[in-house]
Amino acid sequence: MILLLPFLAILVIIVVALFGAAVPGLDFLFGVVFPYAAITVFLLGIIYRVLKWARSPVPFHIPTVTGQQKSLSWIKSSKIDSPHSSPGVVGRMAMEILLFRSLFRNTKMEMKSGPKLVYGSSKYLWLGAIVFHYSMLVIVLRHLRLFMQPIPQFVLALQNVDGFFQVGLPGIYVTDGLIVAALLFLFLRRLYDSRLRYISLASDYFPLLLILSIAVTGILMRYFLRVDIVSVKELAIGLFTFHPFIPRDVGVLFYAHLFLVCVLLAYFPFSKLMHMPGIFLSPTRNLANNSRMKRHVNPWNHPVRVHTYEEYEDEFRDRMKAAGLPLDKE
Amino acid sequence: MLQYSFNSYTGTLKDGMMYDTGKIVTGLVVFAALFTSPFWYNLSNGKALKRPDIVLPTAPNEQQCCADSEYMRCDHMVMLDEWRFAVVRDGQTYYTSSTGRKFEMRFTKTCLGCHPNTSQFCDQCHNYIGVNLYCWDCHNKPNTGSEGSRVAQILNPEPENQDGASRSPVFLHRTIRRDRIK
Ligand code: HEM
Repeated sequence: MILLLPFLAILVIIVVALFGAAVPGLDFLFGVVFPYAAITVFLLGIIYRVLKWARSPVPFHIPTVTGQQKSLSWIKSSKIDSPHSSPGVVGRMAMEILLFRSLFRNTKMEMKSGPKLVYGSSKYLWLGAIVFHYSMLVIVLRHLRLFMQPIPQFVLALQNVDGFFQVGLPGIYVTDGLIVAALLFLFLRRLYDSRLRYISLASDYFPLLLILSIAVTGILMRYFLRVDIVSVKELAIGLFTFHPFIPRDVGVLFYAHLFLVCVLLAYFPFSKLMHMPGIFLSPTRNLANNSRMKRHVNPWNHPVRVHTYEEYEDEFRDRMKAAGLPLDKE
Repeated sequence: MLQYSFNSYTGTLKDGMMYDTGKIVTGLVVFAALFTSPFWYNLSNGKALKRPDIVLPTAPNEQQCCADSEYMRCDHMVMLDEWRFAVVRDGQTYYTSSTGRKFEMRFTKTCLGCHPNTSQFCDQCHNYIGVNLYCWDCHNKPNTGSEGSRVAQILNPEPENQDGASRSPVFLHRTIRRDRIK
């Protein structure tokens, strides 16, 4: 069921989109209304959730570090792995966001014959993740050629680099192969390892399959069942200038691609994909390890009634004096 | 030191208080600006939003292309690729269309015969959607007088005819003709 549900969902989305493209009149819904709705949900949903996160109390100062904390001057501290200052935190966050540092440190525990318990470095998840994310970034940036007029120079340059091998016509993009390979790996990884399969939910499989089907419909559209790209661009420019317009005969496959993207955008704020903004707001990563230098206050600390020594002395001064005890104030 | 207080009902800080308001707002503004960049980019380029404006042939003998316009709109590059292979690898010369007409598989003669002005035809759409052809990196671009790279000129010993097109397939491609490899 956990696996069946995402597959069925994807199937339904594609069938609905093909239906929408085939029924006259519905193309406005699928080509204009849904994209605008999806963009709105994506943007407002992310803003809403980030604001809510920022308003959540942080009861403890909880950086998880992998290096020596800054303490005495003669003990060498680790500026990035256990940052005590803002530049250190920025460096640490940059390594996390751009290089997926903590995935790179991933280890795997295995029982070898003996029986012997072995911990080893495991970089496959890091590799799959980084290949996927950068391919996705490049593909999205390349898509700006369809969304922007005139096309920015950097998009054309990116196209040339990605199409470096100049194989076939239209030329093959390296990222197209990489993204499919990486997504397949990330998907099969969850199926292959029984422990991982046990903790995987429908909401883990669905985003992978959704993005995979977006990539596959896109690849079909470029290399196999080509659509009229000029019409696609006219539609996209119409959307992005608030002059929506449906050009005649854009291929059905395009509507499937677009509707899948709309589903992705609208699903995003409610899903695990929120790790994209979430990584910036991870207290284990974005807090400096400075709890010995700065006091962190738990926002729900109940005001505690205390009886200080001064008050104690005021209360018992006479009796203390009579007993000959030393006093701070006479 | 800022003292926060907590609303246990909503799970958030009281009175709309927020940690790091400056950073959060900056981050969200940057995100929203980047995500909506196609909107403001296009809106600020209003004049440049010209749609492709192709000039179609008008002469009566140029009314029938080698395939229907539906196919040509989406797949013309595939046909050119097939022609290139048929000519330079298999030494074929003619293509028979679905209507039974024969076309010589030569871009400069057949295609440019009806669409002589590339800047009013090919380039219109190619520029619009950012298709970068690398044919003219080596070959002379037809009808422009511009010259291809030195490599192509050295490898292509035959003189140009008047319309700027070379008389034979480029030497580079000829070397891989199957009949000559044997
Ligand atoms: C999350 C967003 C998207 C992803 C991951 C994605 C992915 C892809 C991929 C992998 C391809 C294969 C060819 C290439 O890499 O250029 C492709 C092609 C294509 N996509 Fe997307 N796409 C996305 C959004 C969109 C949107 C919003 C549109 C249109 C409004 C669109 C229209 C197209 C078209 C027309 C093609 C064919 C391009 C060509 O033939 O050169 N895509 N897409």
